[in-house]
Amino acid sequence: MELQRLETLHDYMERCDRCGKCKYIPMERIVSWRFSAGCPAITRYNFHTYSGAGKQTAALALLEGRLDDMTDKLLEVVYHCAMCGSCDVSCKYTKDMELLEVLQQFRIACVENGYLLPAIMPVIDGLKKEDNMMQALKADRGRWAEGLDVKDITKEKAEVYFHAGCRCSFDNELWGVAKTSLNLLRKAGVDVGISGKEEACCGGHAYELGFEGELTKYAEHNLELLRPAGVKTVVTPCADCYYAFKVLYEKISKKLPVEVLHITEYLARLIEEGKLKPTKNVPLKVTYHDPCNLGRKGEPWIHWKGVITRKPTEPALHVPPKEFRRGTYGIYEPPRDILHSIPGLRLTEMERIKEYTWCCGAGGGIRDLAPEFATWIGLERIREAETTGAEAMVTACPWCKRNFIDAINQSESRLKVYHVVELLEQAI
Amino acid sequence: MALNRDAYRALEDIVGPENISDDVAVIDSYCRSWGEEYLVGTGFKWMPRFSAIALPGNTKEVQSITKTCNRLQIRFKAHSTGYSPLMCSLKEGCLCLDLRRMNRILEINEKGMYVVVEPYVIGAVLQAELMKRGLATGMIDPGAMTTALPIVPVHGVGNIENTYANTHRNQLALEWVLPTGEVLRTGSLGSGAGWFCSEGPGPSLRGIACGNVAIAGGIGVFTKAAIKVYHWPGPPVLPVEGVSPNYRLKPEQKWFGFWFFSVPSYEKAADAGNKIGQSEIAIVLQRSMAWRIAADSARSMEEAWNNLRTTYAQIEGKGKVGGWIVMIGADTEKEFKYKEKTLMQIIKDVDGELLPFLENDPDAKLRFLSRWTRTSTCDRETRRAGGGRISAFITFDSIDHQMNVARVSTELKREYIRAGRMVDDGGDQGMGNFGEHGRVGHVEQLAMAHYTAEGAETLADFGRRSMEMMLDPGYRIIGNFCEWGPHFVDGKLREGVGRRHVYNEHLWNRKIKKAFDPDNLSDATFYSPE
Repeated sequence: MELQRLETLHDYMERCDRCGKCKYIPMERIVSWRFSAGCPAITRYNFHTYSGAGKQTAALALLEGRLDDMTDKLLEVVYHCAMCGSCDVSCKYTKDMELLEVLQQFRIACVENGYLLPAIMPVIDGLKKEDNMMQALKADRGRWAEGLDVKDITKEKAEVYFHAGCRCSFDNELWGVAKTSLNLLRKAGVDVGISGKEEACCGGHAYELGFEGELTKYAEHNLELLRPAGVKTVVTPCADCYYAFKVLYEKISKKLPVEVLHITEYLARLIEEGKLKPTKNVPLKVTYHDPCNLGRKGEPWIHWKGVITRKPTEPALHVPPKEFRRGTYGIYEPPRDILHSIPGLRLTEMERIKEYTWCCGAGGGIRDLAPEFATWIGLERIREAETTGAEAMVTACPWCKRNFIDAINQSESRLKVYHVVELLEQAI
Repeated sequence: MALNRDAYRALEDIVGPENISDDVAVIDSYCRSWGEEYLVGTGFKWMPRFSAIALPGNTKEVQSITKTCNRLQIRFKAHSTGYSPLMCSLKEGCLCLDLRRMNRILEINEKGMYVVVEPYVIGAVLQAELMKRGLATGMIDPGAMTTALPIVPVHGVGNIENTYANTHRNQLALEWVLPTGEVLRTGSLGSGAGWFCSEGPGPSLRGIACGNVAIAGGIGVFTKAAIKVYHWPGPPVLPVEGVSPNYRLKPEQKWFGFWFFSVPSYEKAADAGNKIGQSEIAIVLQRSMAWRIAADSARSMEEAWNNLRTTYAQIEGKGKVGGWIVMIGADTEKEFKYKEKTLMQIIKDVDGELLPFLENDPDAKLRFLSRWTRTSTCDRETRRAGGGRISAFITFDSIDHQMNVARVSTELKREYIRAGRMVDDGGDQGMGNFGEHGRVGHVEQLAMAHYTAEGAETLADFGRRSMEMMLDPGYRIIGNFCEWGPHFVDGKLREGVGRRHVYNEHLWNRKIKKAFDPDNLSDATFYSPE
């Protein structure tokens, strides 16, 4: 198996000493036995192999030639992973390693070497043909915006480009998230446009599945889309799209030359500026779920080019010093600020929040590869939400919302699920 | 060396097909921990392969597996969190029992002041549940992400053991699947009287179960244990704030204080430690030094390396040696002030000096308080460096003895540093935790070298020399040292090298092992030679 892309990470991979932190939320944040776990995969399947450390060690065995080749079981383990980054945050609390990056590069290497799981291929084929991850027709992409009379940036200029994302565009139960987001922006007087059926995928989901080429392709497409439109800001209600635009495009050196904001960042700003005024009472007790791609994975990408020195009398040092992305600067407060601004709304926090949130289960391709695992992860979160006494779970990503709704529908839970924008609209 | 299909099917029938695997990639993910490069032979980075990994879910399954192994003559080894090279075997073909599914807290008895746990309950989880009830117990130094089962970790030392004891001391009754598959319940449990006592009226065997090397001894599988718990003076939920990696206690907390002070000499360090121990004021009484403070307060290795310039200058740079980390906790303000005043008087008595690096940064102290209370781990100063490391000169004895160990081991280590063979962490990493209010404690000298053949040989050599010095009465550092770690350098057990100085314990251990495990199937390759 050709693993050259893991060579640059070899130093970090060797540092793993099986401390076990990657399986849990950071120790200082554990307040109960019930909600101490951080990694959905090992929590569900129990073999150490499923943990971040386990996958990394198996990759190291391949890289160092101890293992001759990938095994079917290992491929299954690699893809029974939400790529949520919980392991990465917990590891980086005390270590200078790149666990999530190893898992990402390992997936890309699997694809490059032809190790493809059949369940993924219809999704990728659909992406290639119809520019979306939902196995839907491109022609239907803009239907959510029918009747909204909003600018089309392929035809006219706008200051702000609203990118709905594949989930919002094709999941008609979630059209409301896109519509509401757009309406709120327009109510605040924002000069906003969309691209309707010309909107294409961000490429982020495909990248997480190991298809690096698709990310590059869609980064270039979106750059070209924005160039003539005079756009200064891109805003999206989807955490996955935010992560792609803000973090991944920068990572592959295709940074969008515009400001990238998640809808909650933009709306929080508008509320602070007085351009949106939540005045109506929304008497509801809610708890907020931090999407992984907005929170711990959403902090800006930091390029580093240097060497790791190994002088005998010094520890391994990065020269120049490397700033690790440890989940510190993700988007945690703007969604909460919005919720706090809504009269009558009471926000109560779960035990696992912010950089140590429990994943919703929608990421990493799990919904396509292992739907029962995705449901299991979602139900774990629903149960945690219910312990707060909240009537509703609020989140800032349509993928999270969809996975929670599906999990609730397969259980006896009566928890409601909202996107932040939906509650804000009720207060305006 | 894979299991034959009949054996695999027999085990599969016990744990279910989803809880056993002989896939080579799965197995290899288990064959790496730390220290392999000098433990298994210089430059060798992986442990020998297991034959399969099985995940039993309860005592009955462990028992069935053990009996099956005896019937089919399969060597086996159990581990909980696996954060130690001891989780592996030094010979290929051993069956690995990963006890991850056995992760329940079975009982918290607030009146009896004990808790009953399965092997995969980790320290942080147990402590969180105990704190809610105004209780706490010891956690081991490798960290709160490791097992809370008190008997499993080698020696059970931990940050907070000055009040909450070495975990081995907290061991009460035990449920134990012997190497032959019998289930033994020790202490009061063995007499049907519950979990509260390890010593009787039922069979005790605490000394045999703990031994000097616990799980390395191949003495079966511990499946449940009761742990003594103590009063916790803090709030039910520790008020931690911040975003990783910058967690800290909230500044307005009133219950805890944290200090580090240096002293003019190792003798003064001993004096200070004894006084603090005898005054019974401290939750943490931990011998520490420049590198630990520098590394633990840093968010990255580069920051740690930079911090060391300051902390070293403030200690050795002023002709002093590392003294003590002391943490106190109290129920009332009056109690806190008393303890703080006592500590300050002791520091003054020994000509100690509080470290400006910490005193000038209240935020750093709040971060230390949070970490010392909840993570109980030394990983920022030992495991972040990204290379090989060894713990040598591991001894258990009185404070006076241990300060001599710190001095002697530092002098040896500085030879290696001057020769350009080891990481220059200031030389003195003779860290140690003292328990039971200073009555006994451990010291170990940590040394770091790069993850290369030369680095591995350096660490192995350091380990060998540490053994020689510990056996040389001239150095006066023969404490109750443990028979693993550097004693395994080059992959060869140096059994009996030290033990003949301690009543030939190794010979008695062989007899006990033979009695408990006639077919030698409970893997002890890290302790006893085949």
